Amino acid sequence: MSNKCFQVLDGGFLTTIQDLGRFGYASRGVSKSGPSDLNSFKVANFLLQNDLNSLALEISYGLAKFLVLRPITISITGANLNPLLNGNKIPMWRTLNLKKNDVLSFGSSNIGFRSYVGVSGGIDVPLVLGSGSTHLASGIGGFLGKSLKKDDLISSYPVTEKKKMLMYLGEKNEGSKNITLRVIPGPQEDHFSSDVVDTFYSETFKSTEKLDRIGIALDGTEIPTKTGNHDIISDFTPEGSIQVPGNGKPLILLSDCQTTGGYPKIGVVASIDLPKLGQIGTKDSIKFEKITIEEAEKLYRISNGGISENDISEIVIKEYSIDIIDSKYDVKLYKNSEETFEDFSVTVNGEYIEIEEVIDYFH
Amino acid sequence: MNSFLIKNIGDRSISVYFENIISPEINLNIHEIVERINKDKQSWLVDVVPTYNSFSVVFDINLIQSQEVRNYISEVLISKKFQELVNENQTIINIPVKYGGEEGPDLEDVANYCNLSSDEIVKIHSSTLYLVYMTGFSPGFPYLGELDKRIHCPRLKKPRTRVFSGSVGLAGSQTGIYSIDSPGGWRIIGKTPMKLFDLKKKNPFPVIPGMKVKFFSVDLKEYKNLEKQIIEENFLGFEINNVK
Repeated sequence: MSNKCFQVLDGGFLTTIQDLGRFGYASRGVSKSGPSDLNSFKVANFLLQNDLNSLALEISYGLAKFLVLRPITISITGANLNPLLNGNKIPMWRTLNLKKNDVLSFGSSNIGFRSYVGVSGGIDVPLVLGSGSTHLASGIGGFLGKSLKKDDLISSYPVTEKKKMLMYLGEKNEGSKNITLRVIPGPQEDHFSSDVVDTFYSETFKSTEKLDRIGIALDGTEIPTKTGNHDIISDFTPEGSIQVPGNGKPLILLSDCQTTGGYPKIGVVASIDLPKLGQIGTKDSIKFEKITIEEAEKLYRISNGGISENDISEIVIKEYSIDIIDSKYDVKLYKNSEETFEDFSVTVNGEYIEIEEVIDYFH
Repeated sequence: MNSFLIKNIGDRSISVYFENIISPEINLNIHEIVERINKDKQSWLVDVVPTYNSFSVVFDINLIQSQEVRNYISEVLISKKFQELVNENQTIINIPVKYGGEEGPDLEDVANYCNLSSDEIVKIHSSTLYLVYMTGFSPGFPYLGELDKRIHCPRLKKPRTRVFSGSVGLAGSQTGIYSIDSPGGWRIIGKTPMKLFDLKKKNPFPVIPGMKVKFFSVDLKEYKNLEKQIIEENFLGFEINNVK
């Protein structure tokens, strides 16, 4: 049996396949890669009861379109890029069952930047140096080392056991036009005068269109070094590094960044806020807040790595069978939220339908 | 070599910085420390990354916190006896290079810049024994030094959008080999048929930090022959000498 699950109808702006990342080869110049928004990626797999390292789609900015080739269960998390199934709105942050010949498509949004599509069982691509993550600059991992293009066929591992339908109730990393990033002082903070460091932590910066999986170039007040020299002897550059090149404009590095770099690092984004980087789009306002390493570690500990069992709930599905003039309709109600019953979705014979008005007949 | 600074780079890596210079002595000692940490195989260890005058220990934040890693690194550094130069029994990798022509489009410009002939550039470049200070930029890209002062030259003003893998480049006091097709601003003086990043091989990274590299000049015919052999056979395309 073929395990093909998606035919790509449109790769959109930029769609890649990612797992948690390629670890252990930084000393050989191999980038870590992995999801730009780790939390949303993890939730996508968590909902599907997949291994957290399972491969999923990372859809940057949207506009991607897929034909479903066999019945599969998926989850969509991250930024709300207005996902549609056969042209109808579908809910995010929960598991969804798709049928053969369904069309899953994405719009776009100016809030947030990346959606994740988890697939039950996980996407199946050959591992390169222990990971399936796509690194575009090296041309390795994912689907032939590239972003997805029209007519690419994506496979996933078959799932035989019946799994629970789940929804996510925890904190959602959907992006925002105003972002505050908590930063640990970098190894070259002393290349900047204390006044300049104060400026860095008090000014608001804007993300520019120079933005990809490698980094985000910022615009705003210039951050010059004391000497005017912005070259250092190249050293290690982890994800979250905030480099300041010669033009004085900070550059935040994301998961596809090179392993070493030759610009001074004024700070490094704390692990707790790394997922926020993946949701920064163009023209977002960005502020930096200085924290100590101890605070960063405490925040990460409290966050439990971004996800916990308590954030997940089983979806209550109410099923009806309605006979209207000799036709039989299967209607299903899905809860989209734990708190209110006003937010739900409806399928009729498996198709999601748009709800115009909710009349409370349930009480 | 005895003075160093331990600094956090974020909350999941710690770097140790030695004197702020590029020196073979410091770099060789770094490789020795890195090897020691790698052999130690701590469960929380993700990566140890050597660079010119520093090394970074990347750890799993879910398993350990920075203070404990700091303590561990301090212990390793205290137990290490810093040596003048670790130079025993080392591997030299001889790399064939077709200099100039299509393979080295910037050779003549470099010669003009340095007020030397192309032949002199080739002779100087291929007579130095280089240390692989680090790999970075792309998988397997070696940063080599020290480059003879007579052939130091600046990067291209406008980087190329595509430099072919195998291209041998110069930038300031550095020389290196492009390991994959990528954009790049180094001046390209030649090309090797050898692959510095080859996933078809059991060991995809034939040249790693701490090794020594020497170039030798081949003509186009030899280059093509080597290229064919590398593609057809399980042949790496370079010679390895173990020198006592």
